[in-house]
Amino acid sequence: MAIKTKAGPKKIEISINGKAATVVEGTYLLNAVMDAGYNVPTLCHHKDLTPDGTCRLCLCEVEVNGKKKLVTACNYPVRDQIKVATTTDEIKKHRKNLAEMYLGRWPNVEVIQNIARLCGATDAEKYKSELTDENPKACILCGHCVRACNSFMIQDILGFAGRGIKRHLTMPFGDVDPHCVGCTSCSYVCPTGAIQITDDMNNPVDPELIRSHGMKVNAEMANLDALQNRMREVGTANIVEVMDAYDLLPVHNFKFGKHPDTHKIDSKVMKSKYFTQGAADACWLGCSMACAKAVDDFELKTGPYKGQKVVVDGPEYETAAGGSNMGGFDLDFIVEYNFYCDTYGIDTISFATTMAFVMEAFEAGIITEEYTGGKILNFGAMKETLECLHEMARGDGFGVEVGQGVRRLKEKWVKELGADPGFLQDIGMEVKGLEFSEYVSKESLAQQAGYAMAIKGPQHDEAWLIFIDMVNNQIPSFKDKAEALYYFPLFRIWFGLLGLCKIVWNDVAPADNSKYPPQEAAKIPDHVENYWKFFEGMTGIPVDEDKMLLQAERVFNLQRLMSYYLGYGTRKDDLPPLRAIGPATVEEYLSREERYDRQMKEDMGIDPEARTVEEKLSITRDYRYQQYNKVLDAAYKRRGWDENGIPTVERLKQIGIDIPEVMALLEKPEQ
Amino acid sequence: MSDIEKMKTQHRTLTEADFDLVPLNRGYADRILRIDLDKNEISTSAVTQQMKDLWIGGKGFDLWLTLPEIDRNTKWDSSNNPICFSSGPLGGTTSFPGSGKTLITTISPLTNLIIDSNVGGHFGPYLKFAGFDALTVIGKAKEDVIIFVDTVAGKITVETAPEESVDSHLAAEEFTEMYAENDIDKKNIAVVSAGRAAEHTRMGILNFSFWDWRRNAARLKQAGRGGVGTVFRNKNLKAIVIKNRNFTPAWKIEENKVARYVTPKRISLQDSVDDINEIKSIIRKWDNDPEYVIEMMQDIQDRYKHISKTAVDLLCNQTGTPKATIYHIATFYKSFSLEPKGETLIQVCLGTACHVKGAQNVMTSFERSLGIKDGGTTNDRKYSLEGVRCLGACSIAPVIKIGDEVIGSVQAKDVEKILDDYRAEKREQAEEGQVAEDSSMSRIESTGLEKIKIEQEENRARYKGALMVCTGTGCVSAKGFNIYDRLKKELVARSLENDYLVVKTGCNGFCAVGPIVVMQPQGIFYQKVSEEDITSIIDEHLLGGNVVEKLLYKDPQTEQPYTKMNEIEFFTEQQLIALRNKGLIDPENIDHYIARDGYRALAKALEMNPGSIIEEVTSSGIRGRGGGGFPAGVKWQSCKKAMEERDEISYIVCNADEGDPGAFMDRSIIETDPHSVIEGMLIAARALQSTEGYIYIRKEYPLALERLEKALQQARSRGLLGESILGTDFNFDIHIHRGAGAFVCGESTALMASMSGKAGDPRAKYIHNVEYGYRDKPTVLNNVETWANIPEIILKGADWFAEIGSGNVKDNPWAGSSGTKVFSLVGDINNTGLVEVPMGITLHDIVYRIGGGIPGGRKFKAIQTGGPSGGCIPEEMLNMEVDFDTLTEAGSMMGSGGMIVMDDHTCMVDVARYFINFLIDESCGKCTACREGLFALNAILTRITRGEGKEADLERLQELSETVAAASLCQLGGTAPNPVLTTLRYFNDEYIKHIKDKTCPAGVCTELITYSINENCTGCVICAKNCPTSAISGETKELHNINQEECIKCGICLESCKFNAVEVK
Amino acid sequence: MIVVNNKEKIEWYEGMTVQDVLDKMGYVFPLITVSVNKQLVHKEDYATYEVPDNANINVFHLAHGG
Repeated sequence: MAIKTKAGPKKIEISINGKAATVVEGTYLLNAVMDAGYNVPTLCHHKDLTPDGTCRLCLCEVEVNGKKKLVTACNYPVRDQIKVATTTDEIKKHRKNLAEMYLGRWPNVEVIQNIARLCGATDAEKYKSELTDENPKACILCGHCVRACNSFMIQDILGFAGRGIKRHLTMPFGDVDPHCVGCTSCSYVCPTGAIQITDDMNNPVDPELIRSHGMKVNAEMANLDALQNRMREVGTANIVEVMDAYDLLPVHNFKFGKHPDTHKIDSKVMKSKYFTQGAADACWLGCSMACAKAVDDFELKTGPYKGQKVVVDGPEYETAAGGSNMGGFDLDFIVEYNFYCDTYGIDTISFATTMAFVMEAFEAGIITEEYTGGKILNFGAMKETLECLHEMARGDGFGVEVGQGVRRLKEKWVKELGADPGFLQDIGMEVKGLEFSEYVSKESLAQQAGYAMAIKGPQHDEAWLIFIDMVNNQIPSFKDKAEALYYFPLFRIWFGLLGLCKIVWNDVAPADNSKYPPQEAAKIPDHVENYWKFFEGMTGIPVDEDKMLLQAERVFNLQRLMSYYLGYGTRKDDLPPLRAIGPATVEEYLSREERYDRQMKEDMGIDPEARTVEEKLSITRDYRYQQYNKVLDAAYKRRGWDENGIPTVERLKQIGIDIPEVMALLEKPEQ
Repeated sequence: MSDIEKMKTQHRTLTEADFDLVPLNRGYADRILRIDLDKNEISTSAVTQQMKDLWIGGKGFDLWLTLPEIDRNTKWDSSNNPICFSSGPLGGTTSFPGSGKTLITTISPLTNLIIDSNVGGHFGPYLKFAGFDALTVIGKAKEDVIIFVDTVAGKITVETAPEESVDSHLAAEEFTEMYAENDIDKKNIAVVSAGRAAEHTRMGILNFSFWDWRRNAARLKQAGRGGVGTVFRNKNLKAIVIKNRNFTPAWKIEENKVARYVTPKRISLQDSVDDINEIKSIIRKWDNDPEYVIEMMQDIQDRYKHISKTAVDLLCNQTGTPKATIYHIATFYKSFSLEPKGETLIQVCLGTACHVKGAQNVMTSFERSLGIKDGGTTNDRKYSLEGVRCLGACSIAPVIKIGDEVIGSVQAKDVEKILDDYRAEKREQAEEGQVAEDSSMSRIESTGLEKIKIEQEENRARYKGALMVCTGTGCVSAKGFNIYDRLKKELVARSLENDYLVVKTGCNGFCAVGPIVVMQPQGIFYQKVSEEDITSIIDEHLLGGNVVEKLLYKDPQTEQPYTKMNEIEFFTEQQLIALRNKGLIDPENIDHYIARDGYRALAKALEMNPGSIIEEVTSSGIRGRGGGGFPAGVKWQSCKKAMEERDEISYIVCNADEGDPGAFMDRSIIETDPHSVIEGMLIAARALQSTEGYIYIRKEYPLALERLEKALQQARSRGLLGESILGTDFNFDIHIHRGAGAFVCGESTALMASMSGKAGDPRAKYIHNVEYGYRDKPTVLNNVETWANIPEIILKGADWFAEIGSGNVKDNPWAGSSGTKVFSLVGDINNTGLVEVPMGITLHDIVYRIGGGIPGGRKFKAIQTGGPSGGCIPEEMLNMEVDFDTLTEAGSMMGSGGMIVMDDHTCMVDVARYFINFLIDESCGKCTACREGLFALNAILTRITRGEGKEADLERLQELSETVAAASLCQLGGTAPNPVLTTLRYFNDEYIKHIKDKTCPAGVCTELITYSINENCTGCVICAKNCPTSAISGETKELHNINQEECIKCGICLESCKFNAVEVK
Repeated sequence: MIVVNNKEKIEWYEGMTVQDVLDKMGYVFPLITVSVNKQLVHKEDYATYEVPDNANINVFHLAHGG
């Protein structure tokens, strides 16, 4: 268990063997002692595992408030101003006795022989008994494997059996438990070789290389995730309240970035009232991130399965944020719409973004109650939203129209209802026909491009640059942005070529990631290196950054060319609606008037005073599209595409895919 | 036929193809699968090197495979729009997290260009393990079809599937059920499906399933974007199902030497459907809740006398508890066995009191009679024999339990008769139904407490007197219930039932003289009452007005009879707080408790603010009665602090896992006055705003358990537990966890592990339970006796309590020991039983005034306090004033309050070895110091008791003891060497005699003694008859002789000789 | 006046700590690194590290989003 307090960590002055040291409250003493340069013998400690204090060798003397006591340094959390002695005559005596007992029982195990030497224990006969085990690979009950199975994987497949002197590591009844996920962590952490891996499914060139890097991530997940993004506790939904705080949570069809009711749907509520905790929620075997959260025994309130208790997967961030986008600040609603979307086969993102668009249109009077089949679809109309979903499943009613997506609704309403196409274009959150995923991109130019340039449509999995751009202000120039729009999409695509999940790359980071300069740190270099080694361990082919980007760039260009071949995929298809790049309505402008006025003054050099909101809106609009187009130009260029967004032949040659099948895609269609 | 099987019969195969399994190489299968639904064609092609070089895999493969299928005019709903699935060369790896994605591409109905979507679930990796780097599906089926890739059979089929659900949460489960061989195989099935709405919209998704065995449900991950599900349904695909070969964990563990002691020799399977269903229903009874897996196992063990492999699998699958955890539990707790036990379990108590009174001989005798060893089962599966740590009936030691019956004062020679009686009793046994519980109780407000009290008093006043029959475990083992039943019957027979009330009370405390009947309000004390005596009580006393002389207690020394209870020294020296209601109420009637001011403290607490409740408890100075002596108020305060700091809830827990052999006060308190414990917990709950409490109680205490359950139920129906307690907004309820036979579970962290459904491994307490306890929440754990004190403290005030006992605790609870302490006084002492005395009373007063001295005029040798963690205090320290701190100074400890008096027949080396041996079995084995250290200590002590000791052993014992004490993880190990250290300190000469002279002065260590028959022998032949090995020869009226070759030193001859003719040297 | 991420300007006051700056900016994402005038500040010091006037503060957020 990690010690948590509301107040956050504080530092404590302690003394180790007479030397002063400063440690963060809750640090385990062994770490403090080793950081101070002292060596303390231990058999059961492992840097990546929660200490268990079973070998007892790391005994140290601690003085608290004048009282001395012996503690095991590995699991003693420093919480007071203590004085520590790491070796006293008494401690030496105890360590020697313990080491002698170890030696008596497992005389031929190398780690024990080393410890015995360190502790001055030489007599292997002293505690020789009928239990003495001569096997050099014998299990010494350190529990590394059991703890790794538990903390790396939340699996508990491995355990001890028996009690007291009969305690031993075994598989139940001597069988192999078929529930084992084969993560191989146990073998990795075993100090004696008592657990051996005998097969690898994928038949990699170098399984050890893969394991050694995979385990690094497992260790981070076990030790750092709880302090970082809490993927194990709440999955991707951990950022609902974060996005709200940064004004990035879509609210009311992306009009706003935050809402006073966000606390009703944030991760705290999900964790305490909905998600089952401490479960092995991995969507593939061996994934230590275990972010596939679920709500157990959820009782449905509507629809054909009303009254039934079901397991609901998620909600993930996008689904929860879809809730806020529709004005549904109620987790019961969000879980219910999540469930029905899943089982009916509906994309929660497209659904929520389309519904939010419908709601805004309803509030603007473009569609009416009559049109929606009697449903009053203001923002926050949760019951009605669910009804639309049930209509989609039944195949009748207004819901089916919603299910055609924003682009087709726009076309239809312009044609059939005479709606203002400009307004619908400004607020309809789609590019290329695909609805936006649930992040507000208004204040991040790079993210606007990341969304609108995404080959398949505005989905964040190709580029998520909001923090780097808007918050960190790390890529201020167009060139910087273009570079980010080159690197990150390619890097992210790379995962899709290998069968890998991206969140393991960036939702947990090594504790010392900040040793890299910010530009680099964003890439999480240690993790990138892990993936190179993973690839090399599997295929035998070493990769580096250039090779990795090249691999991705080929596929990236192939996909762009296929779009082009199908009649899309040029500049005109990469243009976002106004709301994705700035305020689209007076209401929106006024909600952030101070910010927009300031930008007008500072960035555009135009005095906002004495101008009407409509004027200011129009100025902002023009300015922002102009900026957007500049980014587009820079990014196309960096990618080696022409100004219309089409990959150039030179580029295709450079990256080695100027093969006939690909080149044919560039040919003009015969009329 | 199940619904699923019916669905399957509706399938019609449209096309099929066999395929070979290819080994993967460097992450690739080097093969692509293509299925054309227009032509019903299944084909494969090879992956080229160019594909791998340029497009790597995953989305790269998908796009490349799409290219030849489409033309410029291909739309999302064109027949030639392919939908492609691929994993990737790194996909399916388990030793690197996040390697299970499937990449899907198709032409999107929303965008009319290529959409790519990535998704978790098991499909992609399983597709690759089947030998396909990618799958392309093209064309459109004419009706709903599924594609089934069966890796086990090496067959791919396209089948019509008209019946199965379209909605994914059902489809995934139906197809998983349909194609899995059994529950475990479900994890090998992965299903891709869409849903009904995907048919009518452009934003359809695909759900990729994976089987979650812990939840027993198919989980879904979504390929969400761009309408891939719409395309899927447009092709009339209902599902793509893949069946993986069993994924065998590819690892092995080195064999372990001690495993053979634990692993069952015969693995038992239960194949019958009835058994499986019954086990499942037992598990369901506990809501499949993994925290209650130990409870389930107890029920299974009771029903089937063992935990079979089938049961382990069912427990695993039904509760989601890993098999290893269940196996650990099954091999950790003594209640469980992996091989079938006999119908009747005979438990021989090997607790300390029983040990010093010769329990080992009783055990040997049972072993011989049944022809099995300790832990064994007779061939006919009728009996199992097992030594247990303590049955908590130490006052009538040695004790055994046969079936549900506890029998006290057993001697080795009685064993045959006990077995015969039991066999006879079993034949004629007829069970009497218990009186139905009064469930029509009304809820009360706090003012109603007074009303109940008055009613009870009025009711009592209607009678001429009340006969209080002790039904504590001690008296019950001496037929206490029979006395009660008979008394009622006889009163009815004489139409006196309206004149005299008969009440079953809990333990009176004076167990040595049970069964006990006390006539109230006069307090006339009848002892050793038999069924036959009842007519005398009624005729002579109730009707005749004369006290029944022969049933009165007589002082063992002076033979002087006492009429009234409050004249007997055993009682006069006591001061009752925790045991305030003993002998005065029916523990099964909540109104009796209320009539004695029960729950008034709760009512008072409800009007106090939470902080002042804690202050009151703190300034009373009460220290935990469970052993450590930590001030209860300080503990509560720390809990409150942790709650506030972390904004957390708290739990209130009662430790009733009374483990110390020789101690039974907790059992007695619960049997006597269960509501006092409940009320104490309620007060703490109020102070700490807790809503859930737990009592962890030993399963070996069936009567206490029964009374506790009744008490909780009555308190609930009275509105004293549950919601809106006493009409306020205070909610609190208490649940029971039954311990399954592990001494270490009395240790607080082990107890909490056990309550969570795990083996009782303790953890380091550098972080206290008050911060991170049960379920990692702030938790207050106190023992039974502490809880029983709390209501009195609240009712009478901290000052009243603080003044009782030793020291001045008003400002510092550590400065003394306030209040009283309940001790169980057992062993070689006349007045065995339970006593409550003020702290600070001398040992001498306890032994000689209350305890009435040593029987048979033998010499006092030592008093052992604090259970196995305590020590042996010699005669010269008898004037010591007993409290927490003096005992610790003497090298012993208070523990829970067991006091075992030992006379000069006790060998102190044997006592030390006894305790260490006891703890080897009870240590959890987690930490090296305790596990290996105790084993090493035992080896040395055993050597000494066999006369093989060396002088250097004494030094080694001392040093090893110090290391075990200093280096152990929990207090079990920390205090385990105390018996060795105190005996080394106070009885060093006995060790020396064993080592140097090779003699055992007390005549205990069998290797060092011989039995012989002296001149006193009258030739009565009784010893020869009783000798189990026929080692005694001699004719009637002639001097007998013991053949030393055949003598097993069981001591039966000594027990049975009436002429002091058997000698031990 | 202090500058956050070379862009946002906020009023400085005596005794202002890094934590105060983060609160003011609404920076609640857990994966951040903070430097004050190019000096790295550790998480455990946020509440006590005082920011001097005219400081240049960089609050660097790691990427996010699957």
